[in-house]
Amino acid sequence: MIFSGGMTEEMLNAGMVTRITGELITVRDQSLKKIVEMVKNGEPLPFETQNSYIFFAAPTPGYTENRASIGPTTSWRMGTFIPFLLDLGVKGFIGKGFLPEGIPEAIRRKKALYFQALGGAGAYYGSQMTAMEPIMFPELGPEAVFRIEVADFPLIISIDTRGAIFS
Amino acid sequence: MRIIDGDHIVEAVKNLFIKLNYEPDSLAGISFIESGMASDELELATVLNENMQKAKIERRPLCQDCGVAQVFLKMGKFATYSGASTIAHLINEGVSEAYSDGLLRKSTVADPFNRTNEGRNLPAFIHLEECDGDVFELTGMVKGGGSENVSALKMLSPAEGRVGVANFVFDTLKSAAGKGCPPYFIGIGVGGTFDNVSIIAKKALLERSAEDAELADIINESVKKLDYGILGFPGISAVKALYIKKQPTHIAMMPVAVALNCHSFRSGKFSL
Repeated sequence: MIFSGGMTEEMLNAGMVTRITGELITVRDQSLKKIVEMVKNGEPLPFETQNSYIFFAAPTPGYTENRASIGPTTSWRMGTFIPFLLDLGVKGFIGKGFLPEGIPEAIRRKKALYFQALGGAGAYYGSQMTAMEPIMFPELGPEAVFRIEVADFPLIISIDTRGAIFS
Repeated sequence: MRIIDGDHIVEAVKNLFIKLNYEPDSLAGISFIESGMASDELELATVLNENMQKAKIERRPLCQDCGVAQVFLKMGKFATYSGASTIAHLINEGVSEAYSDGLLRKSTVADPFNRTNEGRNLPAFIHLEECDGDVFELTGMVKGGGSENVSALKMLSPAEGRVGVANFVFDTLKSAAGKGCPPYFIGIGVGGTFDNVSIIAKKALLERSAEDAELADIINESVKKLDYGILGFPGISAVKALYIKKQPTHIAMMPVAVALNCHSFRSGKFSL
């Protein structure tokens, strides 16, 4: 992942606004449940989880026309899945709002990161996507898992690698 | 009696709901930048302004949550329509076409418990008001889940007066914080009944009502004490606009409803 101003993950401080460029994987309530099942059954996932960045989001349908909007959904509901994803090596989480008790601590222990995206800036974030493809569960519609490439995606750092918190 | 072609109604509803998601009249001329913002809040405000521009120019929905469809219809006693047995059929047809042809996300589920998404964003939630003449005026609203979830209703005691109402509005905003995507457009309904007061709170938003300047002054003063700005982060811009509507009520009652709308305030209307 590339951060604005040539920063590295370790240099980010909670409370800062940053812009990221790189690959994100979108997940949400339904797809997360299915991913947990697959991992339990020993099935391989179609994306590299080590050092990956996960975006809690469900886009609009216009991606084949390059007209999609995408934005964060409330992270609270996804909180219970975060320790599972951390164990798979996920490095960063992007969502909206704060996390359930105990989850920030789990993120801190793994020196991972949590970012908040701007709620409702769907057209803006859509415009900063350079690629988007469904990679799992297309039958879930907006809740399918998408691999997306983003450029200069504005985010607020909410938990940094030292465990400092800004909410 | 004036008979309006049902196909025209379907077409106009479809066009309205597509427009609401890309360039609604309610956001025309709006800027989220305010004087006195610190640099981080200013950057977020700039992103929200660019969001409106990109929605219009690149034809991307303003928000990925394209909401539930709400309709407030004023129909004259000398106006009727062809093509369907009820007006709800025509409105639903138009809404369904808008969400499919307009590349909009369908977020309405058929049952609150089994959560099945039938993929048409139906039904539209319709409020019908009869009036004189042969007018047909349809106001549409697209309402996202985030800000609807932090809206609130309370039955106050009449003795609590304007200060009681203002305190309830403040408490609602304080607990909503960033969850409903501020800066908020706020519709406040006071009076009527338990069911009615939430409808007039929505109408306050749609009609930009200003029916009680004294209450508005108290609320505008109290919201300065909120400790958040754009999207719930530190800042000064928690509230974008405040609208108030009143109704007659019972001697023992003072219902209050606070309809919070996110920064993506999407409403507009047409007449046929």
